Amino acid sequence: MNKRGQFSIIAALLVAVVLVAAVMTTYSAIRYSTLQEQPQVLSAVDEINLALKQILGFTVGYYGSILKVTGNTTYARELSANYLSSGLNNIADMRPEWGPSFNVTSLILKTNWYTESSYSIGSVTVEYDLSGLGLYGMTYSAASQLDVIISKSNSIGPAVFTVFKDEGEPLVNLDRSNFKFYRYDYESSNWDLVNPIDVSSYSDGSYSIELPSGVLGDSYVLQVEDSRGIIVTASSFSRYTATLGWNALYSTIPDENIVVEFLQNGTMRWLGQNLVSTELAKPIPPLPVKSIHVIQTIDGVDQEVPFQIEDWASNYRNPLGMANNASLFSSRNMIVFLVNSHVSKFTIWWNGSDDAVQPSLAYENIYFDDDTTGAGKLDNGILQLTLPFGNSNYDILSTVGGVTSRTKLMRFNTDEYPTYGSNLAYIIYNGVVRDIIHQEAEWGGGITGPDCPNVYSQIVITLPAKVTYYTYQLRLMFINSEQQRTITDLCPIRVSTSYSTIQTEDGMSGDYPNVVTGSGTFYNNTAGGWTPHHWSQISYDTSNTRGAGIMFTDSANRQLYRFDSISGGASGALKTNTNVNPRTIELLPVTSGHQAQFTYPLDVTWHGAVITFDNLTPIYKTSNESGLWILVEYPPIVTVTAES
Amino acid sequence: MMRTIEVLLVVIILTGAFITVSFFVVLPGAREISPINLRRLSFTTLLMLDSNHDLSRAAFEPNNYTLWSGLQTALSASLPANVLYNLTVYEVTGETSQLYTIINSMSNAENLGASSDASTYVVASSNVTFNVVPEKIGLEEGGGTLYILSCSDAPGWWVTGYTSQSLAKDLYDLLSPYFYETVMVQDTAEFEQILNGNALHGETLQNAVVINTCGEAVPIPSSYADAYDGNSYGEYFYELGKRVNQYNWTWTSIVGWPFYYVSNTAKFANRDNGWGIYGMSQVGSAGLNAFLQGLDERSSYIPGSSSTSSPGVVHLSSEVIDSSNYYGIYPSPYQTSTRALPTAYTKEYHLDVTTYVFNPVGGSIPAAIYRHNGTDNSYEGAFYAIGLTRTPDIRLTALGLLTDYHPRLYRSEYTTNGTSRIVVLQLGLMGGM
Repeated sequence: MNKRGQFSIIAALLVAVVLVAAVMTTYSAIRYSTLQEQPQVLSAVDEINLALKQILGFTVGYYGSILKVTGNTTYARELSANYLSSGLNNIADMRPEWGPSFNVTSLILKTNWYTESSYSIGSVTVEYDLSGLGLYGMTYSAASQLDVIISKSNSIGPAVFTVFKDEGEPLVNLDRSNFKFYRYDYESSNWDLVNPIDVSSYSDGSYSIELPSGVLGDSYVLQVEDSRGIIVTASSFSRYTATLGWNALYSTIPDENIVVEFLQNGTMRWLGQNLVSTELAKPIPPLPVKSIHVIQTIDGVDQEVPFQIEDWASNYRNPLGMANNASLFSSRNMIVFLVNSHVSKFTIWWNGSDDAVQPSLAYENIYFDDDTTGAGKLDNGILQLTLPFGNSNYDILSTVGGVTSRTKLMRFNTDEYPTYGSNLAYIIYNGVVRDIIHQEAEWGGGITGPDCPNVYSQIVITLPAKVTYYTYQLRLMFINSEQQRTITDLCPIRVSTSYSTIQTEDGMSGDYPNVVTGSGTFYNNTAGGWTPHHWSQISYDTSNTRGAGIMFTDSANRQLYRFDSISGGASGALKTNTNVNPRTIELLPVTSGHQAQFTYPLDVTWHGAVITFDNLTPIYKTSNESGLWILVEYPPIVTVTAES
Repeated sequence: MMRTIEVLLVVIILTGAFITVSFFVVLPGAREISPINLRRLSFTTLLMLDSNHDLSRAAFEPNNYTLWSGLQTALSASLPANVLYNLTVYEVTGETSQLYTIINSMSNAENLGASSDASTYVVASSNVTFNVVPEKIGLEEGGGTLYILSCSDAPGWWVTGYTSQSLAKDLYDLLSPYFYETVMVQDTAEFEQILNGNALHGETLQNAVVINTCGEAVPIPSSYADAYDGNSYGEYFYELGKRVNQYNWTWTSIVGWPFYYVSNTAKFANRDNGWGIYGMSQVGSAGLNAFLQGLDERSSYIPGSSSTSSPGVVHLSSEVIDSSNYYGIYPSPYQTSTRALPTAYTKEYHLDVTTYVFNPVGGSIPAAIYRHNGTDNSYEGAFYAIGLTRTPDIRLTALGLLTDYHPRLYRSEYTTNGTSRIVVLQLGLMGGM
């Protein structure tokens, strides 16, 4: 029995030793053993996802930078996708030990610029594997965004707007270097980007900036660029609206169209003369050509109308063709459209979306049926123009109904006809609102009888739609000459028909022209000024049902007298002659019997229109004193406003 | 009684053991069993440092002491006192054997220990990545000069509606952003100077692009007119071709039949081109032939003639259409060619076409850039001939040159040098092994 007690004690000691040893071993292991390596998986995924997000931000910025050069969205997206792809390769280079591989399942890039509420946005979904970590089939989606919302503007500023980044979070830490205002340089016809001087920012992402000098408060364009390089070009306006003021005389010719050329600097021209504007001309931002629309309010109803955007060179002197719809509007472009007195206002607006599609009204031919083979014929459905430049007969034939008028260009001294060394250039044919051809007259052996060397010429003819006239732009470039240069007869244009009644404007009487019937040579007889001789027409009789003629605006009228100061007296004149058959109207900056001599450079252009009519509106209708003359003597007055 | 004592002893032993064990059974603190996750700490620190894009700025301004000093202060403040760090900015070139190039680095210890860990972070600078700033043509090859011949004493021909000066201005506006230096050559005296190998304003003469704005006419300096009036000035064009070869110029003829006239109002004061423009003399088809002989380094000039053809309507090459999008210059995709050069000239004069501006038509090349293949298989001189009918569209001149030289407007790849960098933040624990 005694031994049983000892056994209990010994057993208790053993239990105690085992217990203590087990616990000490376990806890020592817990306390002092080296910890296992932290798992890498989560950090790796975070790093990759962050890199993807970063690259997406850069890709959206990259996309925007391409859109500042081209309006070709497909091209921009293609380049941006390549850029993203190279970014993914870059990630693979960063962590080769993870063995990353990527597959972009979706990439969306989108911008909406040049509006009050503008943005650039991109989203991407990427599937990726990290084979080095045993991770497969991971998917990550991200979006990057920059929004600029312009508050209502006024003419004096400041610019007030709000900037948001991803998921609508206010972006508050932008400084002046992140903002650039577009300022138009009227001298160079370029848009400059200028940083503001000072920026006030607020916690809700709003900014208030004093406008740099030269930037208009009611029509400013602002570029915002964040640290990711994401660009948004926002503007306080998205349309220009021009109200047209028509003289009351237009009530007699409500359907007669003029052709408006809207230049980049906001100037509007008609027949080479700027339309009078009551406001400072507002330049057109560098918009994608495809985004531009033209709306007119016709008899109180708004409707989109046909127009075309043209390429020109050398300060709008040399026509080059229709503008490519992927190009951006620049100082080489003009918007061309027709207006008549039914139109109370027109609006040029733009669709800021990068996915904007050029309206068919900007490229679809609905009026013209031209034939550029052989002698060449332009046909606007009312007037057919035959252009035999380069062939034996150099006269331009203009036919409306049963009436054909004949035009001869560039008679110089005794050289009745120039020669044409190359075929004419059809700059635009089967156009939307007008055709354009371009030609150069040459004089084999030079201009003789007497000599007038060192002269280049340029001929631009346009045929607008829906009218009974074509326009001319006839230019002579006299370069500096070592030789004496004498002009005794200069007739840039002569119009003739076989009809017998010639009427010519000889000054004004009140709002109406003084009309002289018959032959005459109409000089400038206003001392210190100029005498209006805006037009002359030959018609079948004084009922003016059939005939042809010439008309031009004030500025062209003044150019008629361009050589008077050189000749030392009245030399330029509009001359009509009923004593020849066909009867003629001649635009004569230098009339026979006078002469101009000079050797210095001189660049002079005459603009105007040649009208042919057959039971359509004549230039001047004797019975009620109406007619197309109103188009050139009373061009509409425009008032342009910027609107959002 | 004896049992009672034994039981007590057992109880005391077990209780003692329990008490002894209970001293050990104390859970370690949270810090002791869950040490710092250095990778995550590194990652979040990088994010924090770039929350205001300061890290991105610093990565692209390695010499900005103030910026890096501020970054170091922020880093020290962000990390626990016992954490060691090394922050390094790398350029990933991907193009050479050395994948990573260190741009800048900072650390608070020489060695971070074996248990250190790191995170990486991509940064890109909008200042260098996305601005549309044209690259300069030829600068790396020792060129970069654009000469525009705008000679006031040299009238042009086939430049309808323009003067040489107005064309020169339009060209200047279009192309000068792409060249390191653009020089308007104001008269034939200045042209003589560069023909003789003397720069006008310290510009690099070698490898320049020379654009002749006189159309079918080429300005001729007076001394050259005196020297080469024997063969109706064909020998002048031969000499000109040799200079183009010698200086490795790219001579650009913007319209018509190249080298058809020579032009100098002083030398040809009483001679006209047959069309009343004085100061010009007709060389005719021999001019192009003479120039190509010179470009081909023929030992002497042998008077001959050249030919052109009229393939009619021609279409821009796909390469140039792509350039239209890239540079945002959009001439009409089809034009009329009446002065196309024969394809045979490429073989006859050892010319490689490096850019077809318009697609060839049969045996005619309407417009292309030809480079002369020299004796050592390197290019020596180039000739850009645009054989279109007048009026010249100088956008084609610009687009052809840009397509051939392809200066970058914006970066084409993410990994392109200078566009993005990687920041690596490596952390270690003080006393760690």
